[in-house]
Amino acid sequence: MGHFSLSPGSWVQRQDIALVGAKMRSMAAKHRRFFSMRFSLVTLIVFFVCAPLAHAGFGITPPYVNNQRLTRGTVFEQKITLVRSDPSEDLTAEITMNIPGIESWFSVDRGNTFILPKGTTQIPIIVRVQVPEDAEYKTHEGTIRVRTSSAAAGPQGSGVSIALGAQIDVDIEVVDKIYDFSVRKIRLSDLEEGRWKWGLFFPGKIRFLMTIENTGNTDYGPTGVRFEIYDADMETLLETTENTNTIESIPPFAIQEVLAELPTRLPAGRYKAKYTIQKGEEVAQQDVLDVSISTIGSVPGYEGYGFGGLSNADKLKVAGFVGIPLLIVLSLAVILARRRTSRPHVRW
Amino acid sequence: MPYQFGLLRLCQSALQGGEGKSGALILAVISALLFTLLFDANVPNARADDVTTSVTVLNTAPTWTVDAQENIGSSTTTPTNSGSVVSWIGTATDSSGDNYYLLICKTSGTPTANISAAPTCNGGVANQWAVSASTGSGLQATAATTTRETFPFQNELNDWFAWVCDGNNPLPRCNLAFRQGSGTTSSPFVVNHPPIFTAISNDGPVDPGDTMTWNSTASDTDVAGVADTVQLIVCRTSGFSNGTCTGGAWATSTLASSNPATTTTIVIPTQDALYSAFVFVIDNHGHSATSTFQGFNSSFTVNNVAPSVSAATVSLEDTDGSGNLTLVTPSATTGPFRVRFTATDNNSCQATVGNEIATATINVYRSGITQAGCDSSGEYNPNNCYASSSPNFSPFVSCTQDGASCSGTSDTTSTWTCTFPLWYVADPTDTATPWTAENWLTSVSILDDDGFSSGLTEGSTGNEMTSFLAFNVTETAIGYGGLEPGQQNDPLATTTDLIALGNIGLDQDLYGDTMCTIWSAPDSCDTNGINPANDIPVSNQKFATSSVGYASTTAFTLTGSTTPAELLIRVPKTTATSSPQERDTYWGINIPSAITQAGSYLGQNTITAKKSNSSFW
Repeated sequence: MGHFSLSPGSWVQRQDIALVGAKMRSMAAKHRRFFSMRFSLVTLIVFFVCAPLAHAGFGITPPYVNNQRLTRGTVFEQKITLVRSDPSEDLTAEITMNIPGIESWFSVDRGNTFILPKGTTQIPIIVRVQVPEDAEYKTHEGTIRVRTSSAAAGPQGSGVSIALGAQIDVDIEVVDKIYDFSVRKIRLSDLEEGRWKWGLFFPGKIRFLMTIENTGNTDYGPTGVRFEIYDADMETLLETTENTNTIESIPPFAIQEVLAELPTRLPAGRYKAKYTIQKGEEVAQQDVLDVSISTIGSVPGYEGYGFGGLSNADKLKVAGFVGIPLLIVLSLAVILARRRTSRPHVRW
Repeated sequence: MPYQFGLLRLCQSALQGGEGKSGALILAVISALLFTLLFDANVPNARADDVTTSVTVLNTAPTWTVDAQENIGSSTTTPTNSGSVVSWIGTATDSSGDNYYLLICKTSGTPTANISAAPTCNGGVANQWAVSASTGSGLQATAATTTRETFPFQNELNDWFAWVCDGNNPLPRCNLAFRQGSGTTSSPFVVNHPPIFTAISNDGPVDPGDTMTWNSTASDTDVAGVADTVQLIVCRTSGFSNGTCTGGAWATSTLASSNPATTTTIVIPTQDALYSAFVFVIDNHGHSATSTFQGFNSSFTVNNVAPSVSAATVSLEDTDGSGNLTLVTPSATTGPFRVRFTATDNNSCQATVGNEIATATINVYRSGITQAGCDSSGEYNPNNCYASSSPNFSPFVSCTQDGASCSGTSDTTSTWTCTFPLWYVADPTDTATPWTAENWLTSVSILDDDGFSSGLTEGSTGNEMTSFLAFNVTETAIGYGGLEPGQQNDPLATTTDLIALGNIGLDQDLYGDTMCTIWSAPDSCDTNGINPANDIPVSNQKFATSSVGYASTTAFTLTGSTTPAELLIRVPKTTATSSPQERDTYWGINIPSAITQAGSYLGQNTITAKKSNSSFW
């Protein structure tokens, strides 16, 4: 809905929203003739306000690209979601950057011009920051603007139309390498108690999952996990155990769930565990959680430890049972081979 | 007649030592010699008549071949439980080939042999423990009797005397020598009487993890050798055999001289329910009590206990489960966000019917509000406190137990997920906001199937709320009205609004474009430079935060796209979901005098919203 003005205080509503080109000029000519009659020799400028659409809510989140921990050679990606509340038509989004000196570091996965399709309320874009290997250690600030306009060709109304845009603030700093992470979430998978087989005790497997955000700028992650397992009243320490697997490292700035596997020899029951997530020599997180160990066969899909989870004593047993005979066989083979090679050749 | 004296000696010898075959043989020889002497000495020779002779050889008693003994030794260390059989074995031989009986008597008085019938003990049946069936000479005879708690087995120690007798007709005989066995199979046999079990009690109900105790009143009267002791066994089912619970045991006491008691720790988890517990008392020889308390169901109740939530497991998650909380719907709610946590219950995650944990409620709030500041309905505030008790929030919250997260009655934990929406005004806690030092937290409360509550548990870690820059401009165009060349809007009167539809305060950057009557796209009017007669430069437009004069110093000149002009309009952060904050921008234009072409001039101004300094929110 728009308006145009004939004279101050006299507004006429127009419904025709397709008034463009020649029609516009024809109408202007009619006005010129009308005003020529009333105001001879006076040129009148008329600003039509004839817009095709009402604006709907538009937004971006987050409205920034911030990272104070970039280092040389790293890539940082910030997902920014463009949103609008009434996607009744295609819109063209244009991205312009004003980040003095480092614009070449920045790129957008969808390019600098793309369509916000009709019917879609959210369009994520990835702003990628590629820090050169020779980047100076310093702070950079700037802005990225996202401007939207109708994707239809030509003016969609008359007068001074309004386009909407949103600003993404850029604030980055290039620094030396930082190894750091934060723990966003932890969880435990259900587990069963250990079991005896072939005279060996295969312990239960605690699967401790940590959602880690690498807040440094180098591949990194938890360096170790330790569980101190107490009775349900947290009065008696029953077992201390540490991860047996290598915990996966996480790329810089990524959020990822990683797994620590810990053996437990405790029987079925409920326990409290004080867990410690190590960040090198530091403690990244320490807290208490409930540990429920179920009876054998009660957890669907559960897979316990294999030989890797055996105690050192049991490993020695296995080594003795398998390794020694193997060693004997190998030794015999070597001796026989040596004898054959050292036997004097009979020459006829 | 010296040989007659010799015969007398032989006779004496036969009569005194007469036992077995040798005695019989001697007697036969003596008889023959006497016959010869009598007829040689007294009968005239050469009588013509023949004389018929006859003799009756009397039956002799059977003789012991293998001494009698208890078939299974019944001693103070291995007594015979009342109700069990005690038996004796022995072997005898009868010279006449008669069958014989093994008779076990209570006294050493010589028994009476009977013609073609079992012998009887001296004193009659009352003095008899057992008698074998008629057994062939030389075969092993077995006599047995089943013991009882009462007469005649009321005594622990019971002497026995074994005899062998035949049933010869007409002269049944008993061997006059009795036997009493030797070693552990010798007399007496020992009867083990059952323990006396007169009462049972337990100290239920108990909580999982607590100790459950059963107390009995029981004793044993047997004292032979070492006094008997008693033991209390509590079984999960009524099945009990040979001193063992066939369906598993709750508890087994140690052996005690009396009143044994036993305890067991009720494992965690154990469902809250009534549990059967069948009690049995046995003595140290495995003999079971016989009272009505034996096998009595001394059931107990395991209490329902309150569930709990591990603070470390509580996570507040974005709609996609990862990253910071992100609002994406201008002027409305965004969701579903998620709260995940692990519920723990010592009654297990599985109730006797359905899930143990019935419901969950959550409060979600900015950390500065604190748990105590967001735990009641009146504290609800869409900016910073979503209290579950509020009717503005609870209808939109859904909490369910994750499928397959409860693996059964031996599992104490289950995981839960709650989903909920947040309004667009929810306070941001990320960079450059008034709440940068804070984050959003959640506190969780769960209720079990019996209505026991965990109380509120606040998550150890929270999440950041991302700034949401969202806005609207109601106007789609700026109408400057009709102006003649050289005229201007004075004061600035035309307005555009800027409405904050996100969770931050706003400022704006503005830029425009050269206007002309054939404007079709940005920069379309001045592609070949500005024509003063037909184009209105962008700098002829001005804007301000109020209706000031066109020439006012607070009316700012519009610029082109390369150098947008900032207008610190300072739209506050919206705090009321139904009335977003907004501020107007006032516009005016000056028509250059050089313009000669009348008509409708077109152009486009761009309003770029940006996050304002948070001190103006």
